[in-house]
Amino acid sequence: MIKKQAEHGHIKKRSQFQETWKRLSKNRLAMVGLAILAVLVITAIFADLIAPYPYDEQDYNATLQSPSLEHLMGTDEYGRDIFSRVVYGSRTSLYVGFISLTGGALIGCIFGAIAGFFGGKTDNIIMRTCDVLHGIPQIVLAIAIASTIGPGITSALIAVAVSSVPNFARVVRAATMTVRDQEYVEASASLGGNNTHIIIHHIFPNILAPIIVQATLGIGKSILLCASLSFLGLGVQPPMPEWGSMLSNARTFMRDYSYMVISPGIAIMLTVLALNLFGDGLRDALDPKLKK
Amino acid sequence: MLRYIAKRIFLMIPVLLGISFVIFLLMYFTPGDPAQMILGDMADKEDVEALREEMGLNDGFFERYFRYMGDLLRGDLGTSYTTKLPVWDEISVRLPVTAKVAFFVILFAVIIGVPIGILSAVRQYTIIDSITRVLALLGITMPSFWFALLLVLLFSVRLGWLPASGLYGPSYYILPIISISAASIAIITRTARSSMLEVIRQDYIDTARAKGQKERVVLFKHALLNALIPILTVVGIQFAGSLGGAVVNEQVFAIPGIGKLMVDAIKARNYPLVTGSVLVLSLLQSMVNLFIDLLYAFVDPRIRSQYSRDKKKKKALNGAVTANAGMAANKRK
Repeated sequence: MIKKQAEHGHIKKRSQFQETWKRLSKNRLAMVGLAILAVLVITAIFADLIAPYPYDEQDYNATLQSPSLEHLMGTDEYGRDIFSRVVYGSRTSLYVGFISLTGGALIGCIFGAIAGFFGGKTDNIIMRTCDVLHGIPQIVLAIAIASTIGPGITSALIAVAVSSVPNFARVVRAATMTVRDQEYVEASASLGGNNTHIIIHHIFPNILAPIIVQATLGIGKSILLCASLSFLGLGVQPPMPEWGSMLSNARTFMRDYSYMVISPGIAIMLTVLALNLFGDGLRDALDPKLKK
Repeated sequence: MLRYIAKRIFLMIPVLLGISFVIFLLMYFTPGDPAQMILGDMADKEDVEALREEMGLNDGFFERYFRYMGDLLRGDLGTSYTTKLPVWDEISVRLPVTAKVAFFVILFAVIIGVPIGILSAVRQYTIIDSITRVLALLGITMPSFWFALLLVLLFSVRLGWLPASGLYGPSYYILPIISISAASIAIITRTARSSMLEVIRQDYIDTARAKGQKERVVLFKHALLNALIPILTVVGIQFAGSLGGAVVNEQVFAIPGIGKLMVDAIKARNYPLVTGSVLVLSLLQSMVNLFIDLLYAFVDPRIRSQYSRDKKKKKALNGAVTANAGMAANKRK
């Protein structure tokens, strides 16, 4: 059959992206994750249109109201609509998750690639630095960084980014070491390609798979870490809506107004769940050998 | 083996020095004047300046860092700004609390996670397996502090069965342990399942069954022992993680542990206490990692034999070197 198709020139050439997408689209759980993610991203982008109220609009005539048609998830102690704050919160959480992870990934990838490519003393210095950062529990490191910079979204971004650097550096270093001795790298070097050219044009394209997987699974962790920081009062500060800080605030009122605790938690869980489902699927699709 | 332990402990020293440097650097750049905080906002400028001088706060970074490290080598972690007590005294009171909670958390996670993982693997693609996988996924994705709040809401506020905060007796441990261990249970279950699935497909398992071994023996003696290394790795990571990760849940349940101490110290800008807490938590994490590495050798004879093989190799090598040297000496004669 394949022979016949080949003879007639009917075999369709698929790019690696198409191959990966084909395998990914067969994974139902990954597709569910992607669908939830799509909804979340759309919600974050169009929060102004979806949210019925501004996130900081206070209504002292409607404080601490239970869920109703007017306020789908109820209101908080300032009469702010919780549904609107959860909707806007998706913007904050996804923003912090994506930006901090991109920052962490970028720094981690650069240092990991340098360590893996050059080896020797350079590798030793970079990896021992990573050992030091890895030696501090991630949340503890993030808390220490956040306390140095001071509470706020910037501090959350930097804290989460720095604490994710060692993971990326390790993954990229290991991946770089597996490809640095390949013939195509030697060929590029013998053609006069300098180290930066080789790393950017030959190493990175060939180690993208583990980076993408680490990034997808890492965003979930970053969102959880950011929520934890905000919950402790060291991350995003009110009135900016963030799911972790909303939970921290809801704690005070949960004895009598339990609904305040439910929706921000579900939002965090759904986001991390979607990212994990999609990340697992992506890992299997990018490396079918890993699938058991 | 002893050489390996000594080597690992020796390798921990530069990492701990690096950690102390990073934390000291972070605290150095943290805004706020400790002298002003100790004396209060109403204090005279001169008094504040005198105290700054006395505390060595006007010295350069490296001078202060080396002084701190010198004190640390003598076992002095500094003095708490708020209570004026030695930092170690404050930490040593809280440390057993965190360690105890972390120990129970991991014990609970292993007791629940490993059997469920095994069951899920043995009954692959059944309803039990599906439920286990869904619950494990929820356990991983759910923020532990949210789960803690839900547990408090149900068992303390609604039902009134369990206390919501503090740590004054056995019943106070139940909710913190369940909430902190949820993610660990999920991860251990997943690892136990995948590790067991890999092992139970091996030929030697079929051979054990063919020999007429009881299923229980096949599962626990032949399969589980061989599936134990990945499980142990994850248990170690979770144990180390639960020491630091309990920081948030210690706040929720007002557990007087080292995590709560650290967060409270950060809010009060009590830097010696923050530095000391982070150092102790990091040291604990490193020690747990070392302990798990050593445990591998006890569980897996292949790893154990590696240590002795290295020893034998070295002996053989030394022997060969001595023999060669002897031969060379003879030749020279």
